Amino acid sequence: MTPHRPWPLFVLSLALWTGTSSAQTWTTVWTPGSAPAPTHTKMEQEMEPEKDHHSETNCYPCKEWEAYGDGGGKWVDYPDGTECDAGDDKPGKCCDGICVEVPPKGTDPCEWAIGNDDFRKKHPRQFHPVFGPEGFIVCIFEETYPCVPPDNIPQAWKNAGIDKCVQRHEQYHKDHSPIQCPPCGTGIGDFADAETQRKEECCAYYDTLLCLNDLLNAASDNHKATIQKAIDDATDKMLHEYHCWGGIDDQGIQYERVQMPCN
Amino acid sequence: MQLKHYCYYSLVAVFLATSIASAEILIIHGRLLPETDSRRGEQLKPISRGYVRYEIIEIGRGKLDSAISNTSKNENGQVISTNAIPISFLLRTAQGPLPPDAILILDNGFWEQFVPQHSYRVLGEESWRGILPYSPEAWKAILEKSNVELAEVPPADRLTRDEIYAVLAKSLAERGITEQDIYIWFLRRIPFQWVVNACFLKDGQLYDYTVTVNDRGNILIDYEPKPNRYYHDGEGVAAFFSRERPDFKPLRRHEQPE
Repeated sequence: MTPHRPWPLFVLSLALWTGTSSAQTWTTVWTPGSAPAPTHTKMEQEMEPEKDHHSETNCYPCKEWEAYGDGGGKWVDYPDGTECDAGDDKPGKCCDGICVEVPPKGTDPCEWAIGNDDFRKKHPRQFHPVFGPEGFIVCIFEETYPCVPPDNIPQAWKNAGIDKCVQRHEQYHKDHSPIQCPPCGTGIGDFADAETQRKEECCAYYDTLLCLNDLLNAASDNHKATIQKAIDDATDKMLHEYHCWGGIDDQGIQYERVQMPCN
Repeated sequence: MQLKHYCYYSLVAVFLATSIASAEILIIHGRLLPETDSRRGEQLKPISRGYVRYEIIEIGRGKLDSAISNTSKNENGQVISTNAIPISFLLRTAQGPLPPDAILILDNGFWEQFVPQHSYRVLGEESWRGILPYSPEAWKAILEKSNVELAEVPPADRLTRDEIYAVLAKSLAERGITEQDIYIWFLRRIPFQWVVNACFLKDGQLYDYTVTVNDRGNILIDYEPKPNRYYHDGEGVAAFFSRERPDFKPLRRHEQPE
């Protein structure tokens, strides 16, 4: 094995050249003395022209140069989850050798996701007030957090208290569903496959219906129609999209009924 | 709390199992309370139904559901009527004004299998089918029809699978989707409607598309096509289904199941 291999550096340079959307940022922290100064591209210089990247600067907050002692060496990723500086004093954690921005300590991860432009750009559907879902699960280094952006909820729903039932739907997923998150970094929780999603959505929507029924029974008349709409729309999803109560199609193929309540 | 709900819904299920068999269509002569029309409110989400109350003048057939309140109050909480039933219909079937003096044909039987109902659904959830302008002749004619006659479209008059492909193609044409791109993988009949689970490939992505269609070929409810999260880049539709939905066979128009 050749001790000094150019490929890792080449790959890293390429990643930086193309990875402008990455959370990796230039920082001015310690660099190992024996680390070769990375070759900086024009784009990189333009990103932060005020910084001299030929000085004692580490452009890789989640990597360390492991010197072999003979002038050669290799870059080694810090373990996933290692705290790092994501730039502009934003807290980060290492994920596959890249510093990923995470919510500051004490900040609600859902509120952080709602207010974070990068997160919103990465998951545009989750923040579409008409075509997107009302809520979703935020993943922060495999921890799950229910999230219901206020902008995803119509004002009439808020007035009628329906947002609490949407929150409860997401909480059901957090508490009971086998949510899959990216192994590190941030993202949106998902299911392993389409059938798991079907069953889990049926269970969560059933829980939502219980919540909406309670809400309807206690509601004043001016909110009853709004809550009734929400009940009927949830029932539509359960019946048309997820076939929660089973059913047979015109070819005799049967959808299995999901046993509800589920827990 | 969970146990309480479970017991409640179990009791409801037992009750419904014994009552559905004898459930019958409700035919009512009613007077519209226009101030209760939910269509006058905001419609921010793609909410599919409208709700309104009609005051009962006469019940021609059937029994009222004691679980559904007949009391109507205005925004100030003052009682407008103690004899006004809430009814619902699909918004796409009722864009214009409703008949102030109407024959209401209502049927909750299908829906009550699943969840307790809080309003009466008009027949087929279509306003033109279940909210008819009143006249003594029309009232007499409706009452002469049996529940079986009223409850569903005869099989011969239902939209065919072939015709449903054309309906989907028309709806998806503006997205550049042609009939040959469309696969139906689950087609289920509910009273007066087909529930269609379809999908199509576009720009290397599989999209799920769910609609309900009536026998006139009108789409009553549709959901925005959604990229399928479980689809792998470059995968064929058949390969996707054998992996994710092995019990179902996606078929294009004129294709037959093996």
